[in-house]
Amino acid sequence: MLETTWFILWGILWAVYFMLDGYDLGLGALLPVLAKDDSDRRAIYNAVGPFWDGNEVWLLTAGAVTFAAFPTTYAVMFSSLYSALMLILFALIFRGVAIGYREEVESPAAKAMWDWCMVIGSFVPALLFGVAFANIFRGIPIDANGVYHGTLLTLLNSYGLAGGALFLLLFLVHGSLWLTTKSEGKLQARAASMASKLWPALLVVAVIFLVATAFATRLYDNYLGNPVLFIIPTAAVAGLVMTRAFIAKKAWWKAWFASSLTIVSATLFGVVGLFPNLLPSSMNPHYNLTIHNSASSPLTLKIMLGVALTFVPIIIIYQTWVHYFFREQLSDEDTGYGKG
Amino acid sequence: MIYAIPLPYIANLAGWTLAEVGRQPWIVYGLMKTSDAVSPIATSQVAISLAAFVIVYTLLGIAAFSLVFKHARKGPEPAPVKAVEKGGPANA
Repeated sequence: MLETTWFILWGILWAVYFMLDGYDLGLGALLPVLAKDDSDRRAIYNAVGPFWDGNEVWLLTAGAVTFAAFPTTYAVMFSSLYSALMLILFALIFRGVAIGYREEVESPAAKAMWDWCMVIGSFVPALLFGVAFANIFRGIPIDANGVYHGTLLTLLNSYGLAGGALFLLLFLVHGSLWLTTKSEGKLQARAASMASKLWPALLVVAVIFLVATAFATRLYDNYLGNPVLFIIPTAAVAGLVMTRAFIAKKAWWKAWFASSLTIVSATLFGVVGLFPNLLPSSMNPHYNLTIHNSASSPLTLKIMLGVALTFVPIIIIYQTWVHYFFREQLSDEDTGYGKG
Repeated sequence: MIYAIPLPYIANLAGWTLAEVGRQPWIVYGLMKTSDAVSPIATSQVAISLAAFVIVYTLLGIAAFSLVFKHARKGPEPAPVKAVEKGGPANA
């Protein structure tokens, strides 16, 4: 029961992380497409400036929960996906520094260099998180000792790449919609048109991914065993349809929330399908890392549960407050991002 | 006085190095040897990521120091008159 509780918490942390960092990763990757001049670029930095680092707190929390609650999974996952995670880490480093330093440099060349760090640093994690999670859903070649028998290229199989494309498109639409709530005039129109242009591609990739999941993974076993769970993928699809409907009505916040529903339900769809596995082995199902064979001691889980139930609500409260406080479009005077 | 600026950094790094070197061959003192804690990763992967860390931190170091020097040369700005009207972070 304790292990199941932690598994659910693990899934929710990843889902919230993708919902939050998804919009700033997606918007960062679209910087050169959406911005036509420096004032557009500053508006985009201002749209993510107060939030992006808070959003990444959820990544730390999700990683830390994997470590604290399921240490064996943490060790095997980080060793197996070593190169992919290093790429994500370096991308996030450059991106974070770009957001901090861009306002400090004056020459257009230096600004352009940090802009490219922002773009690549946003694009790479958006894609690789999808690749990594699709491979976790599918299972990776780990043996009885949790030793990984593959390379970085093993992860770039067709299902992994479909997962990467799905995450990337989800985040690009999510980021475009975020900008529609934080901009006006031509920039807002471009963001809105980007979201509606990308939406059909997202729909196609989402359908392909849902079908491919039936062939490449065992995720649907849990759903067929307990059909009421089909409400989760249904919510993801409903969120996707609602996103398009709200874009048509120019109801930007509602469209963004619908897109959030899609991302959260899509993540939970995978996580619920995995249960009770955390990291399936594609070599032999006996080597799967599950909530039973990779969990910490019950005492650790109990103490950690107390800690989590205290601090996660605090984080939710202050982050909601920050998002509410900065709900309007921000100017350079408000944030200091991109000044100079 | 200005030459004292690097001293705390040197003290910090030296102290850290002393602790890390001093506890060898243990990774967790008295519980686990460093040699038992090595992950099953190819040496080439670790070599590449180590090289990447050195390069990335060198580049970021250059960027950071050039900014520090730029701001130091500019000297302090006059105190801004604008107060924190909306109660937001005063980093403008």
